[in-house]
Parts: sequence; structure tokens; C-alpha cells
Amino acid sequence: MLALEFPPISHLFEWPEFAFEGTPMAINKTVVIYLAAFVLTLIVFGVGGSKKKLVPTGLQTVAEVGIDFVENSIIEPTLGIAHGKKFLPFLTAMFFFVFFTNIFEVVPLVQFPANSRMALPIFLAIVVWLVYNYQGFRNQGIAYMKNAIIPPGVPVAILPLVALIELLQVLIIRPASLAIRLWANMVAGHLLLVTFSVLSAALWDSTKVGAVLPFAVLILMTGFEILVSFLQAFIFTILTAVYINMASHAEH
Amino acid sequence: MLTFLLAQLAILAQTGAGEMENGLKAIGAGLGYGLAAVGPGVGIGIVVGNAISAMARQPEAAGVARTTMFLGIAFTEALALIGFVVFILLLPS
Amino acid sequence: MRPARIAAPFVCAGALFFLAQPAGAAESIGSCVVEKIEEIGGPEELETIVEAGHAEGASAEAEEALVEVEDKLEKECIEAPSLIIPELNEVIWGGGAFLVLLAAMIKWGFPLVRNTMEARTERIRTDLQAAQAARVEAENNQKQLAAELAESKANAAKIVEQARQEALVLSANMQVKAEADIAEMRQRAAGEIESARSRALADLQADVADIVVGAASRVVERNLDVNSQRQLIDEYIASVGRQ
Repeated sequence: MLALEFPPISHLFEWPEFAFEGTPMAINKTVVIYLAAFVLTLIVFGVGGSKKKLVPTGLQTVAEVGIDFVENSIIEPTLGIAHGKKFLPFLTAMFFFVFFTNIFEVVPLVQFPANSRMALPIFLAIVVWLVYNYQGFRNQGIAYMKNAIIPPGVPVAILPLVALIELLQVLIIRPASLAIRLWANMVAGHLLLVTFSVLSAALWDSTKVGAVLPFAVLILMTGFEILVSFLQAFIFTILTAVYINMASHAEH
Repeated sequence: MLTFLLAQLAILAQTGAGEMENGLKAIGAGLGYGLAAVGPGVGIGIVVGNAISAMARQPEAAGVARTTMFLGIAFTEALALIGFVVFILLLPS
Repeated sequence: MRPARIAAPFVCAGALFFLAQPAGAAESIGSCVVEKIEEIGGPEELETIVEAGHAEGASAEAEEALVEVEDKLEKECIEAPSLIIPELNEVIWGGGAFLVLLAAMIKWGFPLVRNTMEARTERIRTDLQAAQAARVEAENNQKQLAAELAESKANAAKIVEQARQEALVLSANMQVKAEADIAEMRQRAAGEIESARSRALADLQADVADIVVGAASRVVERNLDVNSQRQLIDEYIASVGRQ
């Protein structure tokens, strides 16, 4: 048998605390990545925004392309530019924060997607849940609950069932699926990369030649995970916009 | 392939314990994830295929089709991810 | 060239992952168990505990110690909290970071970039408008210039025409004048001729009178008959004519 010993899965995702151990403020690798993503986002917008050049370069381009992307690809097809204007800062911040926490999956020497810990996805999902429910009550008043759980044109016979499903949908399934989607994609991506790197390391130790194929797949998967990091940030943000839009208007 | 790897991974995670029960759990987790991936796989195929034909018919609406495609993929994928969560939960601790 | 450039970061990232991960891989169940055994006091200590626990008629403490060791190994190396349960410290840090980021973005970062973008849009719009205005003005100038050019061309044609007319008139006048001059000259010449003739006639008459007087005197002198008179007169005239 190869010297292939796979680390237990919990060891891939749980990092030892190295400051304030045992307290609720304990810091581990995941927390450091959150802070790094926080600082990176602020740098992109702070430095990119303080250069007011007519022809943007460097970070200014990143910040402006980011805002344009959120406005044209996320808000425009869902909320509409006029209506979605006030959500633009929220969605931009969310997109960049999620993207930076994801992309650490392939950043050399860090190699850990902070969103493969459930903490941030579930927190963001709760924030989204609060935002779209608040938006619903603000736009439609108390009729929001009725419009949300009773879709128009449903036969009375199955109405209780549909209403129950819709209620669960609004209250639990939407935020839960939002959080689980992000978390599970990142966990799966990290497992994939670890699997192939452990495999190629073990094969390199034993046969040398055998490591070529898993290593090639590892490189391909690294590229694929960059795409996934971006796509999951995009999907998380666009689903937020979709949920806000659903809560803003009664269905016709 | 992924299913196989994950199942193998689950089994490998198990080498220390070596109990029958945990082994069966691992096999169940792998199979469960694999089965959960079948439906969404077909579904995502349908979503993407139709999105591509929409883009081919109306290239000027490609942006809208692409966004909607990603949304459809996200909703469909959720089912596969539930399978994945079950896999993680079933993993012998 | 281009695909190579795109592939290079992937290769680097993959290679670094490859190098970095074996450290993680080393942290396997096996290595964890080894560590825990060291904590207990080495393999010998473990062996004695296990043997004491499994020995027939072992004391309650020995069995308890065995169970404790087994639990320790199982809990700390194999068991782990489920991945799907969020950890409180990560929720606090991640959520706090996101909320602070959100506030900072709404108050500061986002408007900073957005204002620059809007200023650019505004500037491009005004520049385009200015360019449009300048173009319209240039077109107007061009039209004006073309109009002026056409006018001056018409003027020139008019002037040429006028000059031609004047030249014609002038030449006609000159012709008339020349003709008048010629007529005058001719008249004068005719006058002179006339006067010369009249003078010649007068001279002639005077001469004739002289001749007549002379002839008459001759006639008187000689008192001749008619024939001789005639002869005399004819001779005289002939002599006069010969003069």
C-alpha cells in the first residue's frame, strides 16, 4: 500500500487558536483570513477611490470594474438599476468580502477558503434574511406575509400545503440554502484540492512518475477553484438581489 | 470520480477506527452523495443546454440568458449540496 | 505565448499547494495518536495501561484508566465537532468584520469610487457636448466662408462683366470719336480744298479779269475788227494758257 494517509476531515478545516484561546474572541487562521479580506476590500476601495484619475489604472480599475460588475451583472437583471441603486453599496461590499474570503483557497501558503467554515455563510445569510424581510415589510406593509406565503392562482384545495411550503421557503429554506450553497462549495473545493495534493505527494514519495497525472489534475483543479470562488461570490450576491426583489413586489 | 474519491476519503478517514459500523456509514455517505448528484447533474445539463440554445438564437440577449442560467444552476445545485451536507453529517466522526 | 502566460500562475499555485499540503497531510490520525501517546507518557506507559486494563481480574481503576485513554485518543484524534456547526469565535470575528466593512463601505469607500466614476461620466458628457458645439460652430464657419467665397466670385464676375461693358462702350465711343475726327478732318480737308479752289478761282478770275483787261486794252489799242479782235483774244488766251 502507498504511504497514503489522509488527514481526518476535521483537521483540514479546524485550525488551532493562537490568541485569546478559549474565549469567544479566539483568533485562528480562519479569523485571520476574515480580517485579511476585510482589509483587502477596504484597500481596494480606499486606495482605488482616492486616485481620481480620468483614465483608471491599478486598484482604481479593480474598484470601478467591481462596482460596474455588481451594477450591470447583478442588480440590473434582478432589481433594476433605478430600484437597486440603494442596495449597490451593500451588494458590492458583500460581493468583495465573499470573493476575498473564497479566493484564499488558492492563494499560495494560505490555501484555505474561510467560507468553508460555516460561521461567515450563516451570518451573511442571516443578514440577507433580515434585509429582505425588512424590505418586504417596508414596501408592502403587513400584506407582505400574505403575498409571500399565498401565491396567486393556486387552487384552494392545495393552498394549505403550498402556503406551508412558501412559509418555510421564506423563513428557513432561502437563508439556509444560501449559506449551505456557499459553504458546501468551498468545503468540496478544498477537499478536492487536498485530495489531489495528498495523492500526488504520496505518489511522488513512492513512485515519482505516478505523481504526474494527479499533479496535472491538481493544477487544473486550482484553476477551476478560482472560477468557483468567483462564481460562488457572484451567485451569493445575485441571489441576495433576487430575494430582495421578490420581497419588494407582490407577485402578480 | 468525485463521488468515488469522496467515498474513498471517507473510508481513509476511518482507517484508525476500523469499525464495521463506521465503514458502512462511510459507504452510505459516499453512495448518498453520488445518488444526490445524479438528479442535479441532469438538471444542470438541461439548464445549461437550454441557456446555450437561447444564447445562440438571440445573441443580443446573451447577458440575460447567462445570468438566468447561473441562477438556475444555483437553485438546481442546491439539491446536490444537500446530498453533500448529508455526506458530511454522515461521516463517521 | 499567451496561454503559457495564463497557465503560469496556475502551475505556481498548484506547485505551492503541493509543497504546502504535505505539512497538513502529516497531521493525520496516525500522527495525532503518536502525539497523544507521547502526552500520556510514551508507548511503554500506554502498553502498561492497556495490559493492566485487559488483564484478568484487573482492578476497577486500571479498567477506568484504559477507558480513559481510549476515550482520549478517540475524542481528540478522531472525533471532531460537525463541520456544519458554526463556531462562536468565527461568527463574532467574521460577522463583526463584515458589519464594520459594510458601514465603512456605505459611508466612505463606495461613495469615494462612485463619485470618481460619476465625475468621469459627467466630464465625458460635457466634453462630448463641447465637441458637438465646436463641430456645429466649425460647420457654421465653413458655411459662412463658402457663402463669402461664392459672393466674392459673383462680385468678380460682375466686375469683369462691367469692365467688359465699359470697354465696349469705350471702344464704341472711341470709334465714334475717331469717325468724328475723321469726318472733321475730312471736312476740314474739304474746306481747305474748297477754299483753295475758291482762292484759285478768285486768282483765276483776277487773272481772267487782268487778261480780259489786257485783251481789252489790246483790242482798244488796235481797234480791230471782229475777226482780229477774236484772233487777238484767242492768241491772248492761248498765251495765257501757255504760261
